[in-house]
Amino acid sequence: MTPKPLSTEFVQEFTRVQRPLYLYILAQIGSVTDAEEILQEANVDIVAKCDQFEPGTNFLAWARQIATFEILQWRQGKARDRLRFSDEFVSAIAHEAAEHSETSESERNALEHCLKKLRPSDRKLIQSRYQPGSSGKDLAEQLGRPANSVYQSLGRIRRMLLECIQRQLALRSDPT
Amino acid sequence: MSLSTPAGMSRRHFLSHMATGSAMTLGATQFLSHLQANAAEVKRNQKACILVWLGGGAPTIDMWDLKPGSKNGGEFKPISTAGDLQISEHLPNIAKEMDSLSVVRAMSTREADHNRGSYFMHTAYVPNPTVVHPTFGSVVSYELGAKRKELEIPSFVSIGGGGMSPGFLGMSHAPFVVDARGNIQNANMDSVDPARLGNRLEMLATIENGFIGSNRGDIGQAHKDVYGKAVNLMTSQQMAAFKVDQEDAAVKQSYGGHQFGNMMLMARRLVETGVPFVEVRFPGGWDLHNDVFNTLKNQRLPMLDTGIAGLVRDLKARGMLDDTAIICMGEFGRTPRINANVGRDHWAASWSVMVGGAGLNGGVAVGETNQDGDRIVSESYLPGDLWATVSHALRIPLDTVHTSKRGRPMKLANGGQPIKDLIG
Amino acid sequence: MTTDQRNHLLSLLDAVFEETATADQIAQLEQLVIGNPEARSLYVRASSLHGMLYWDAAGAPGEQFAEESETAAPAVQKSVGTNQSVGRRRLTAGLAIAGSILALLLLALFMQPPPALQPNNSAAVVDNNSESVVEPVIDPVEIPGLSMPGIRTHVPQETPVVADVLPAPDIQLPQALLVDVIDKQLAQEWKANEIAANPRATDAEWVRRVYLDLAGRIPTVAEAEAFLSDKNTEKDTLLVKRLLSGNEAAANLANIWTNLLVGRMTRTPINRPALETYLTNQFAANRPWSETVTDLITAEGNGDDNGAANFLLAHLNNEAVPATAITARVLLGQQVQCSQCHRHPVVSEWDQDHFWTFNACFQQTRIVETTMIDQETGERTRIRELADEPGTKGSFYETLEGVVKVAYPGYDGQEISLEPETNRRAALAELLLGDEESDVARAFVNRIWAQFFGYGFTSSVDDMGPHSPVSHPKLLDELSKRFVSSDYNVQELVEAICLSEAYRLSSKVPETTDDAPEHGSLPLFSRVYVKPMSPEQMFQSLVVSSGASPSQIHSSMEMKSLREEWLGQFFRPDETEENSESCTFDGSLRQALSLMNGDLVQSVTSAESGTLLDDLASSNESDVTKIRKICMATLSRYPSDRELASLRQVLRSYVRQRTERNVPARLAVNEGLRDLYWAYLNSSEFGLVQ
Repeated sequence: MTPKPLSTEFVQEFTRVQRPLYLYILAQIGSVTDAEEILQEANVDIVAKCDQFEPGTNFLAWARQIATFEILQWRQGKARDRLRFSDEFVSAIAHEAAEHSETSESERNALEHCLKKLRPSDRKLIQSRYQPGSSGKDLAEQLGRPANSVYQSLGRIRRMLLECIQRQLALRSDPT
Repeated sequence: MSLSTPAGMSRRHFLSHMATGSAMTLGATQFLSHLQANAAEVKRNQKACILVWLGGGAPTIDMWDLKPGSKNGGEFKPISTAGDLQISEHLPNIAKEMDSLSVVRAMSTREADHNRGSYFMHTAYVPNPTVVHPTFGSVVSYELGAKRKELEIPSFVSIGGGGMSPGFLGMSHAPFVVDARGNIQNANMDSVDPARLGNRLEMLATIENGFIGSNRGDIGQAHKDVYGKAVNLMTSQQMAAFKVDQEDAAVKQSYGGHQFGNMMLMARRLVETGVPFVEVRFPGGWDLHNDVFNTLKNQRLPMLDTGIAGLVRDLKARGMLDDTAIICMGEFGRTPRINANVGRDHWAASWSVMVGGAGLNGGVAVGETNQDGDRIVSESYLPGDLWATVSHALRIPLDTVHTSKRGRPMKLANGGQPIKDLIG
Repeated sequence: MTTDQRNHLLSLLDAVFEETATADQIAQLEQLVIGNPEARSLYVRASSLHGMLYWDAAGAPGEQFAEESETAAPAVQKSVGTNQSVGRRRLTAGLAIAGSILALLLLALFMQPPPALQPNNSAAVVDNNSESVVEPVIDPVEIPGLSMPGIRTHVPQETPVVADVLPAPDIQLPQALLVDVIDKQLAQEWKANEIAANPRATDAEWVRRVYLDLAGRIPTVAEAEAFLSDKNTEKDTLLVKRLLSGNEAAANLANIWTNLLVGRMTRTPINRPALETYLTNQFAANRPWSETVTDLITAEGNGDDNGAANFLLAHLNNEAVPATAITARVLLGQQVQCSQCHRHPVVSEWDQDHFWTFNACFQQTRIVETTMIDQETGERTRIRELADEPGTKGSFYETLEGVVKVAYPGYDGQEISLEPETNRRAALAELLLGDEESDVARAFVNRIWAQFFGYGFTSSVDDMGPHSPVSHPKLLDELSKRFVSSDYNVQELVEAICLSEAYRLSSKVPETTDDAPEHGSLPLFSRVYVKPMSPEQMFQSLVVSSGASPSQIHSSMEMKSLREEWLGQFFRPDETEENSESCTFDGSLRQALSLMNGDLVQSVTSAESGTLLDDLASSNESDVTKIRKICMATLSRYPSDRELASLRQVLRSYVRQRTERNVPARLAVNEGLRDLYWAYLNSSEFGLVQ
């Protein structure tokens, strides 16, 4: 492979789709770290296949195709994992996940807004949870609270965020 | 004077009293038109439902779905019945009638709190803060009672009950609550002079007309409906249906001769008069967190057994069983596991309901739980399915939709489907 | 998808996100999602949220995107210039995650690195031909308005903390009168919802309302007429203050709270009147509500000597489950009883442990029964006393899976010492009341609000959990805070509510309105909602309307027992071990029959000496005056002209009929007036607080 400079447009697009792509993969995999791994593989592929991309077409859709292939491969490797999602499930949600990845921009903005609306204590909790390398379990140990109760609090906060995002999006899509 | 006893004032006597007041204007005309309509005979063989409510949540694992050999099995043994299923040894009389009754052994209803469970089982909907769903007796009252012009007493009677609401169907479909002896407080005309009552109602109607014009929502209309029903009730000979004391001792004895038996007998009398829905609240709680087996064996089950068996036999003998659905349940079942106080706690995940009559298949066990009774291993059912089954039996169209006050459409029985093994 | 399914799905997802999901849970999740579009969408959105939280936190250490200033976000969306920074941030985020390192490396190799990468990311050293990677050191990226001192300590501290410059919440008005707080915030909501508040109620409507809500009865004719003819512009305030300082208001509050605490039909042998007397004294002396709550929770001794003890004496049965559930529901506004057996169906934090740790606070407490024999009469009386046994006992409970667990005392995540000598109930009271944000205060404010307005800020005042939307969150917060800082001053709160603009409005239902909590929406309080009278209000109003002196109601023992008896026909204890009861005083047939033919109405319409009807019978006033008086005595207003004319006509025609049958005219008129009085008592309007 002869290294050749990538176009600025490609780099911009490439960086732009990282998040939606990641979310697309995550929906079909369930594990944040596994999804990262797959994204990494896909990224290698995307860069390698950069000249196959037709400028002016939907970059994200193109990148998704590549990611879908990586997901398939990864799933085959884990075919015997009991905690893996079933084929039926993945095919049921793949379409939805793809569609959803197209709107991740506005969703992300809504999330920012919604995080601000949380009670400070809730916000702190959810941030600590998603601190790099952290997990709900670690957090519980840190706080000296039972893991289950921390899980529940996190679940509650996620629910609030989910509802808030939904409201925000509805508000923004409202033409008035 | 009591209109309901032969020795009391006759209808003609009452009419002559009324006639003394010459001005039969608005409020009082209600009497007359009503009394004339009264002449219609009560039709025979009308559809009806009797709900036997086991408040507190009965341990159905000790009644309808025994688990001999399991650690959860408890003290009781199953016995064979006239139907194709076994039930508790402490329900020997019901066992003889089981060819007419069935048990749904696969209820999975999630709500294990008394209030929420009771609401769910009565309405087929889980509680929702934005709307009050009608209890199913009110639905039947609305669907069938309203069409029975000859019926002068309320079309939904709750014997010993209370607490459930007609929701958006309105107070005129609220359960009429009477005590176990059928005493109806404040309903007899003994101390009322009909002419005076006519005058009072006349004045009341005048005041109410003003109020309805004052924009306070639908309170005025509800008030009018309820007072109309009250007047009907007070002047009706059908009140005799409540007088269970008038039955022969032998008949009472055939229902067990106890309080619950009398309540069941009253239910039969009411259904015979044309009441389409009667709820009988079992006298005595089933919230058996402690000492479940002794309480069942010595108190609850013998009463339930003779009361239900007596009703089934009597309905059969009178040719009414094919038109009368019987359903026996509480807000949930109880834990298969026996707790440290030899009791069973709340359990909604896998339990049983007894149902029969009105053309539903008898002698069948529908659905199945596992060996320990803590999981359903067949298709499971929701209260909506149960009420859809009853609706089917009562010929209430399943595609019936009611509309809440807010304009929200509500499917009959929450869109449940009749349980196939029980129909056809 | 039903709410239950939705909640079930979300809780399964929590397990997936926290990586605790079992194969069985995953199977359940799949089953819910496959084939249900709504569930699919929910799943994808939840997964996306989880991913975004992970991505952004992992991507930008030290960055607290939550704290961005309000102004930064729109700027980012609009200007092209800042777009760059967003892109840069995303890139950094994307690159920083471990999984994207390789991509970074490839990028660094194959392309001109984007300018953003250079200043902040020290170049990673890489060998193109090998897979081995030297981990790049990634410094936190500074993006205007985004970089914040984070959880990680290595972030430069000099970065401005945006949160500190956020405008302060706009309700910091400690000096404002409580009533102004209410008026301002409700008006804001009316404006925001583009809804016009109702016009004010007439004086006649308002005086009846305020008497019923505060004193628990309608005003007497004299009281109503005095108010109506009063020209003082401050007459509203004067009346509210006068009623609030009187015994009836205290007795009324005590009555309401006794019903809430132990019900009307207590199955357990307690001294209910002693509890009511204790509460009356507390309210009459305007003792802080926190003190009353502490008394109720920590009471010791027998119910005759200590009225407050009757609360727990009523509810320690069934492993103190009722004590736990009723304390939570009535005093804290939380419906937790269903979590005794399983996790709360909606609020996932309310699990069995939540219930049983609360329950464990009552596990040192026992009821000790002794029998006293009177030396002279030989009469035996049983005495039940609350006593605490120091001990370390927790609460045992079984999970749905049948695992026996033990819970130790605590509340809402805070633990209570297990030392045997710790008085757990006292410790619980401290936990509940120690904070400036107290659930006790919120629950009380909400309940009192609902008592006057017919609806609280939540659709049920018993159920204020995180799942219950609050109609006016700021107002509830502010009122609760002010309630705490006023040392739980009950009268101050009640007075502000009664003098608020919203409480002064008419209860007419407009032709069209979006403010319709009757149909399930959250209330806006743009009109007063019509409430049915409680059975106590009905009883007391029936008595007062007949001309009896209101002071009798609470002082005469005979009247009290008459009231208990009358109430008894409408209440029945439920067949459960949770000490609840059902009520048939609900506008149904039973209630109608009782008002038509019941003993009480017969007796108040009997024209006994000293009653209004007796006065009318012997007076020489005109029929019209008499009709007007009856209307005022029952509805606290005069009849409209039309009403008066129609009623007069009915009365006359009745009298004519009777005289034709040789009944003396005077007698006939008096019969007619009694019938009229009966009709007013049976009217819709009489039974309402409007």
